[in-house]
Formats: sequence, structure tokens, C-alpha cells
Amino acid sequence: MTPVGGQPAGHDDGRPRVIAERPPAGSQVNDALIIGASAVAGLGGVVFGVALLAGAPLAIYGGALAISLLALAGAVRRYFAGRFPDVEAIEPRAELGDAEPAEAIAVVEAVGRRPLLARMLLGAAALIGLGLAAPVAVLGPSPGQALRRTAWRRGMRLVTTDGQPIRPDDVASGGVASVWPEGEIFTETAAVILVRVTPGSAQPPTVLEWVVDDSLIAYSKVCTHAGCPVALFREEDSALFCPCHQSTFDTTRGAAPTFGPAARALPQLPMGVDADGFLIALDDFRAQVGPAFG
Amino acid sequence: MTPLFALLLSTLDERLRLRQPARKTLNKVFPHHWSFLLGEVALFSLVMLVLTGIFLTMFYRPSTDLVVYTGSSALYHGQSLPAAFESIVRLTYDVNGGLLFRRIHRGAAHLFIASIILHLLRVVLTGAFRRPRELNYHLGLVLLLLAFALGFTGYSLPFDSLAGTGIRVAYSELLSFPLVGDRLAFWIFGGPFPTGDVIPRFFVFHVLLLPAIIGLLIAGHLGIVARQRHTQFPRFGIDGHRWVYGKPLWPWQFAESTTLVLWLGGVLAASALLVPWADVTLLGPYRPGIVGNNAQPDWYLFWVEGALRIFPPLEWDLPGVTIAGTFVAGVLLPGIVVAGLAAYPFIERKVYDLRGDWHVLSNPLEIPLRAGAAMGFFSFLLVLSAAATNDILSLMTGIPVETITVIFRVAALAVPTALTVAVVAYSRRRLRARGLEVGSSEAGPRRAGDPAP
Amino acid sequence: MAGQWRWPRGGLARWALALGLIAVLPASRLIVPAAATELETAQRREAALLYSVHCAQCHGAFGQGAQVPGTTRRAPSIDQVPVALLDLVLQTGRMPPAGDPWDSRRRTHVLDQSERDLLIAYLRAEFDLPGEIPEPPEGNAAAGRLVFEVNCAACHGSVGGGGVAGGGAFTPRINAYDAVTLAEAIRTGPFEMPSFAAGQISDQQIGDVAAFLRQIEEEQGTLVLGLVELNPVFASAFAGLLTLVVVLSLLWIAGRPADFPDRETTEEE
Repeated sequence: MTPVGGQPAGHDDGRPRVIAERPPAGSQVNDALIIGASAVAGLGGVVFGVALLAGAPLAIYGGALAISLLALAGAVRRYFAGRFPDVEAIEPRAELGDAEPAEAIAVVEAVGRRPLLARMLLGAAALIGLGLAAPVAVLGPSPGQALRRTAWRRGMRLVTTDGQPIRPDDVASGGVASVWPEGEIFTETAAVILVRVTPGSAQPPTVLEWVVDDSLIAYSKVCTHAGCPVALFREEDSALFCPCHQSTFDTTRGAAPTFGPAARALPQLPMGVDADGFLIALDDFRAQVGPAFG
Repeated sequence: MTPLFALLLSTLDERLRLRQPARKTLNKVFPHHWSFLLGEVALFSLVMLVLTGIFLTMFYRPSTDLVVYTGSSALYHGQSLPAAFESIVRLTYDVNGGLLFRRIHRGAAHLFIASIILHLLRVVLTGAFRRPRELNYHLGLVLLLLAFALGFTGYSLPFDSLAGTGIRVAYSELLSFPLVGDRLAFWIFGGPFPTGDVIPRFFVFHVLLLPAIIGLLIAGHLGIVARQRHTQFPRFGIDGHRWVYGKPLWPWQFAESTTLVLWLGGVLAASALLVPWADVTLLGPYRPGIVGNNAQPDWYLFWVEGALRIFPPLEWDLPGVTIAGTFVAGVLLPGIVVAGLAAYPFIERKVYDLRGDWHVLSNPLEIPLRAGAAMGFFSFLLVLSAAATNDILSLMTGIPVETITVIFRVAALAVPTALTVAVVAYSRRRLRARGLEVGSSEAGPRRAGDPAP
Repeated sequence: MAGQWRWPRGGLARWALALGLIAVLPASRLIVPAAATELETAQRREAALLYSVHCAQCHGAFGQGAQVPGTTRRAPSIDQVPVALLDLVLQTGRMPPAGDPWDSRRRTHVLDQSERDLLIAYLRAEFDLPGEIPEPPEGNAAAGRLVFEVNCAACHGSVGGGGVAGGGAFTPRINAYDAVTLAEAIRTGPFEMPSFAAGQISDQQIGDVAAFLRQIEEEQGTLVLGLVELNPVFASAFAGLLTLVVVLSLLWIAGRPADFPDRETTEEE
């Protein structure tokens, strides 16, 4: 690098000036590299196109694309390195504002002061803006009771994801099942997890009248923390475990939280058995399902 | 220059008078350092995202209505799937190049956000946020947040089981806003989760609203850089506050940018061969009430996810309002993090009583407040991010996930505190050893942070 | 890690233990010839030896269950377990354990195939274990997906890769298992796992799940690395790697290009 000039003193004309320059590193080797890399790049581009159209495996056309782009990047770099001097320059930093020459004509200003008029205009514009925000409220219905109630009603059968009503015997000892209200499969807030605990192990705050066979309990499957489905049933200690944030609930104690970020128990579904021996809901959940709001 | 090209140029010049401004632009001096290219990486990643995104948009169906897949994947043939997921399966198995472009798109998304974060880190550590650049710094922060939103909506669109679970958690986060949460959630989702509206709306956010805003803000961001000129590292013998030094736009800045954009394209294409960035088809479509034991957001939201995981089980039922732990950990805490970042330039200016404009970058170890704040801040985010992997860590080490969670609860407070104290002490000692006054602006307001003469 | 438990180190200690147990065996009903068994005496002797070396230490000489040495936890009795469960834990390598018996993350086959078959046949006969080894029918992968999502994914992950279950328990990776193994696990509910009756998951559906998992297992991985589908945590590691590569490229791109002078020119000068 040959220094061309050091720190310019005093006066500056606002133009960049070169302070160091290095001649290009052109050579036959460099030219050969550029030619070779360009050829690879061009060929890669064609291979990419042909292979893609021909339905070749991803590895072939993807590889061709990668190689051609990388080769072209290298070729471009060698081209500039071999053909252009490397220049370092300096340029004065204009202090913003003081470098601009004054305009010949001043900006036209209003004659006289009537602030009220301008304020009226701005105020009206602001009110229109406020009015135009109204469509935001149309984007969604009013929440109302939508989040406080679920699809469960008295007498509704519990059905599996296939829509089959289930009897207590269908859930094996130490078993677990995901169930829905009849006709409301995949209605998210109504998801229920049915667990079979060791007979007699359920204790308050579990509502024992809603426990079938002394061992079959239904809880809301929607985590009270962030709403993930709590579906991992650890049979050995009758715990429900949320795979999203690791909240853990004790199913023998009314699904009270025992670990993790959830602060509220999973609501228990009032459950009984109908005359045909199928599991039914006795009512909607008594507590709010899912994460907190309001 | 070929005669035809010269003719074209002169024809344009005769009509638009471009020769003078073009010469001025091409000679414009740009400070030169590898870390100044991080922003360019973000910009070029966005270019890749737009190019691949256009292709993907041609096939993607923004709907959760069930349709029957009839393509070549045996896993789904004849199955009724949400249209969004079905179109992803089709793109993957039945469209030539579909999987490649999906992977490049996802890989570029990772790189887009990672390079913005590194860019931010560079700006924070070297003090490029100082007056007169606070506005551009804040514009950059907004761009980062929009990039998160762009990433999250993109992660959601395939509507695979992970995406749906992520949307569910986001919905719960919206619900958790005190008083207005349910209304807010319903406005964005169009009703109680999961509505048929969420995917079409996220699609509009992802392909129209967010890219348009990001494009405008990037134009503003770059316009401000061009107007204010770039900052530079100190160099002996040149007063960087009065002189911009570096390389002219033509040829080297141009050469570097061209090399970079081609190289990035190549690296992304190569990564798409090796890493299944966007392969979600095996995960299956999202169905309400169903989750896999593998639920995590993408890495750039790990810090929020980690906070959600390790936050203690707290929920305050006050009269008329409920404050949920999810609000504190998932909304309030990220809000404080962003507010802290936004406020830092003013804090540093106040604490060191800085005056005037700054164009020369500084070593954070010469500004103990900045070194400490940056260390505390980013280590806190890193610990929280690590906490989001507690299940995988448990699986890898065999330590119960509960133990790991408790360790992270302690570490989230202890590690940043300890590191901050250590870095502040080290930088103070370092300054004293060099005979520099700690934290004062004795060297003159323009000079604090400059290298010693 | 606390609670980590290992078999006695060294062959000598192990064989001393085994011989000690064999000395007790003549008194046990294990050695009494059972009419039902088709095993020859030599085979029974070998099986009894396997039992005494690999099982008796925790499950007791008579399968009655006992405290696991070095821990406060009990190993369950195994003299009445369903045959399917016995077959499952032995054939998958869950038992006998190579390390901590409760750590279900890894499967190591301590016994080879013939030893496992022998031990199963022997214990089945000696304890007169109930049930049969299930034989689920061939299934359909696409149908198996929904069954898997609803019943299995929450614990074993969307693609059967396994995960944490909390409380120090882990769900194993299951996508390499065949239909018989899956059926045994689903029906008997080993360890922390719940069990599922035929009313909930039919034999046909088990076959479907097996076909689904096989389909996933056969999925082709990426070039060189052979990756199939990334958990976001592992994806984050690769995103970091990608970023690192790009940052290193920046050092290269912003650096001064190398000179490639022509050899002749250099020599002339």
C-alpha cells in the first residue's frame, strides 16, 4: 500500500480524496481462476435448471445451485481483485445542517396568526383517524361468555376422536383417553382427558361424586398455564404432565398443580354413566377452562 | 465498455442527467470492517426470503379447511388435511424444487434474524447508537421485533402440529393481557381459538403487511445511514469525528456486496442439502387438543419460551382483574427487555455526561457501564434461552427436568448478576491500569471512548 | 447423578453372586421340573443361570421382587406379569439394564437374541405367566398417523423420538419397534406408561401405528448428515452453525484478496 497523502490540513472542498492505493493483483493465474470459476458457475446454473425440470433428486439440482453460486462469488471476487486498484479514501464529515447552502427564496409562511384554524383542521383529522380505528373492533366478535363456557352440557356423551361413545371398561387400568363432547370433536376448549387412577386413591379436592368406578376421572385437557393439551399421563404416580412447559398435575388430588408454571388446577368434568352404560357429562365445567384472562 | 452499453448510458444520461450524481455516489467513502457487513447479511437474507417466498406463495393455500391430499406421499395419500398443511405436503413431495426453496426460505429466515441480532450486538458493544444515531438505532430495534413477527408467522403458516401449538401459546399470551386480553385475542384471531381466520390472517401478515412495513423501514434505515454516514473504528492519525475514511462504493464496496449476496445464496443452498430446515411434514397437521412431546418455538423466541418455563406458578386474582404468570413472563418481561435496549443510549449519555455528536466507535471495555449492561443483558437472554431447552437437556443428561428447571430459576438471576459484576470490575481495573479515569468525561466529551492518544 | 446404579464391577464379583444364587436354587421351585415346559434340562439350567445372573439380584430368586441394591427403590415382582410385558422388556433391552434400571433413555442388549428367547420361554413356563404374545395384523401408515397423534404423540413425540415425562422419567424412542413390540407395550403399559385396552386402540390400529412408524423410519435423510426432521432445539444448533459459517465468510470477504502472481514474472523480478 503506497501512502498517497496523510491527513489533509485545514481547508477541504467536501470531496473524497484517496489516501492510499494498491495496484490490482492481476495475473494469468488470476485470469485462469476467473475463467474456471465462471465456467463452473455457468455450467452449474444449467445443470440446476435441467435437473430441476427433469425431476432429479434434490441433492443434484440443489448441489448444482450451491456450487454455481459459490463459484460465481469467487469469480467476482477474483475479477475485482485482479482488475481494480484497492483504494482507501477519506471524505469530510459534513456536520448535518451547516453544509447546506441557504435557499434563495424563503419558505412561504402564513400571514397573521390564527392558531385556532390550524388546530381545528388537525383536530378534525385526529377525530377522523379515531373513527377509522373502529374497523379494528369488527375483526373479532365480542368475547361475552365464549371463554367462560365450553361445549359440555348435561347428558352429553363422552366420545373418542373417532366419534365412538365410551364405556368405563374401555379405559384400561392405568389407562388414559382423550375424549370430546358428542358432536364437538376437536372443539379445543372442550377437550377432556380421562384417566384411570388406582381405585380409591382419589381424594379431595377431587369431586368424588364425579369419579366413576372409584377410579375414572375426567379433567380438562387444556393447560391452565398457556393452553397446551396436557396429555402425558405418568401412570406410576398418576401425574399429568404438560409437554410444552412441564406443568405437572396430581390427578388424585383434583389435578392440583405440583410443579411447573401452572398455578391453577385443571377443572374436573362432572361425569357420570347413562342408562346404556356410556360415560356422560353431568354439566359443563364448574371452573374456568384454560389460561387466565381478564 | 461495449459501444451498446455506452450508448444506453448516454441515452439515459441525456434524459435523466445521471452522470454527476452517479459519480458522486460511486465515489462515496464507506468505512470498512467485516462487522459492518452484518446488516448487509440481513438485507440479503431478506432478498433470498422474498425470492423463495414468491415461489412458495404460488402453491401455499392459506386455509385450515380440510381437503383431501392425492399426491405421492404414502404418509398422507387419501387423507383429509388442513389445506395449509396439504399445500406444504404437496410442495415437499410433488413440486419440483419445492422442498429446496422451502428449506432455503427457512434457512434464510434463521440467518435473517441471527444477523440482525449480531448487528444489534455490534451496534450496542461499539456504541454506534450514540447521538446522532439514536433514531436509527430505534428503527433497527423495531425492525428486529418485526423480524420476530415475520419469523413467527412464517413458522405458523405450515399449520403442522408444532406450528399450531405455537399459535395456541401465542393466543394464550394475548389472552393474558389484563382487562383487554380476551378482546385483543379475538381481534387478532377472529374469535376463540382455533378459528378459521387465524391462518388467512397470519398469511396476510407474513406476505403483505410485515414485509411491506419492513421494506419501508429498511429504506428509512439505509437512508438515514446514507445521510448521517457510517460510524467507524478509531484509527491513529485521523480524526474520525471530522473525516469519514474507508473505501469508495466503487469498486470495492460493490465487489464485496456482490460477492456476499452470491456467496450467501450458495451457502444457503448448500445448507439446504445438509440440514432439513423446513421439513415439517412428518410432524403431521395441527389438530386441536393434540400435541407432540417436542414443542418448542424457533430459537429466536427461546428467551420468551424459557421465561414461560421457569416462571414460578403465580397468578394474582385482584378485584376485577387477573394478572397471570404468563403475562409477567411472556409479555411484561420481553417488554422490559426491549424498553431497556431502547433506553440505553440515553442512559449512557446521561451517566457519562456526553455532549455533541459521535462518529467514532469505542471499545466497550473502556465504558464500564456499557460493558456491564451488555453482559448482564445478553447473558440473561442466553440463560433464558437455554432454559427453553430444559426438556432436551434432561433427555441428554438424565437429570430430571424439574431439577434442571430449578437450576435455571437460580441461574437466570445469578449468572447475569455475577457476570455483570465481573465485567464491570475487570473493565474498571483495565482502565486504571492504563491510567484512564473511570467513568468520567475528563478527557473531553468528544474523546471519552476514543483510544488514548 | 444421584441414584445412578451399576451392576457390581468386575467379572469375579458378578460370578460370585451368580454362584451364590445357584447354590440356593435347588431349594426353589425354579429347579423343579415343570411338566408344561418343552425345554430340555440343559436349556433350563442355562436359563436358570441367566436368571440368577441378570434378574435375581433385583427381582429375587423367585421373582417375588426385592429392594434394588444400592437404592431405596423396589423392583416389582415378576412372577405374575403378562407374557407380553416380559417379552417386551427383554426383547427391547429395557431389562436387564446396562446401568440405572430406571433410566429408560437408552436400550442396551445385555443378552443376545437366543439368550432372550430362552429366558422368556423358561420364565413363561416356570412362573406359568398369563397371556399371549400379541400378533397385530399388517396396517396402513396413513390410518396409523391419526391413531398415533391422538394416543401416542403426547408422550413419545410427533415422530416417536421420545422425550421427557417429568419426575425423572423418560419416554423411549419407539420408531424402530415392530408391531409385536408396540402391541405388547400398548396392551400392558410398562413402567410409567398407561395401558390401552382393545376398546380404545384395536389390534388393527396397532398394526396401522406400526406401519406409520415404519414409514417414518424409512424416510430418507439429508445428504451426508442423514438428518430427517429437526427438533427446534437441534435446528437452533444448526442455525448457529450456519451463522458461524456466514460470519467467517464475512472475515474472508472483507479481508484483502490473496495475490496469485505468475511464477515467471516473480522469477524475472
